[in-house]
Amino acid sequence: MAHLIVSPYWFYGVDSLFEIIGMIVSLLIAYFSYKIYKYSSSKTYRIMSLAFFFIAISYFIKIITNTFIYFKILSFEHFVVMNQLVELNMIYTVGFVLLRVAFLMGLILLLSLALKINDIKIIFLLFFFSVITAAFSDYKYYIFHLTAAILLVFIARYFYKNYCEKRTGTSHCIFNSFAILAVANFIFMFVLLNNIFYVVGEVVQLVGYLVLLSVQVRVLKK
Amino acid sequence: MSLRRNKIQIIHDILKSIIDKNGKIKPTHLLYKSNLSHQKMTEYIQELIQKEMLSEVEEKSGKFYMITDKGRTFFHEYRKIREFISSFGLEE
Repeated sequence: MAHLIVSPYWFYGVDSLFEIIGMIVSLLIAYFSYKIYKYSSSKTYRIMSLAFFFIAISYFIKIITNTFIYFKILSFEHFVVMNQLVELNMIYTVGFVLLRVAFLMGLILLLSLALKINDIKIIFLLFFFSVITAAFSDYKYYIFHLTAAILLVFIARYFYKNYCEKRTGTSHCIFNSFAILAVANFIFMFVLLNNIFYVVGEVVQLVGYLVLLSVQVRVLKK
Repeated sequence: MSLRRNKIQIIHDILKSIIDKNGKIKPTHLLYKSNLSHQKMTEYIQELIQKEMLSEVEEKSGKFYMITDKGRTFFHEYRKIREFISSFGLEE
């Protein structure tokens, strides 16, 4: 409960603004992938669309949960009654379990594309073990961000190989974006040492999504 | 680099063949231009008709395939789609 809020006071709400951008970018990619799926009926683009949709959902949940918690905390007066803390803790627990499950589902679907995993049983097992450790362990905050970072490293590695093959500006930006998102998740692991790492992690994450947005803009301009 | 066309490329090539013939083409001409086997071409045509990207018309001179507005939209968006697929390395 002491670590319910990892953001510094002055950053309340700013993280939600950053995450709105992440959500919008993820939705744009999900939508475009879905369009391609409708044309081609290819499973690849359906999975890609679903992956980014889950990521967008996770940001939406985080924005709602954080906004609610921040408003509740700001409305506290000189002392806090026990049932207010219990209520806050419940909102935090439910919100963050749901966002972690959604985010990990998105990353695992992307990983299945990157590693060409076609067996649904393997995808399920990956998801099950990631969620169990990241959503329900005692060290859930660290484990979640470590798991996300490792998944993003593998995904970024796939995009790096794609860039080496294609040597285009957009494929380079995709690789950079996912590498930056991996770094952001590593940074989030240090939040409990000092909450300034939360700010740094959010800024780095925002940069990752802005790079991804720049790719979408370039693609749509073609 | 693979010389095999992916599904999106094949759909684009089929639609381009039809557009090059002023939006209407005979099946035999399409078979020649699409560079596909008869069976594969039939499968693609059926799928494109189902997706309303092509329509089949009967005229006095025989059967023709015509591109629809949806087909033209895909054709015009092809460059964006190709760039998107290439950037993410999603070619099949």
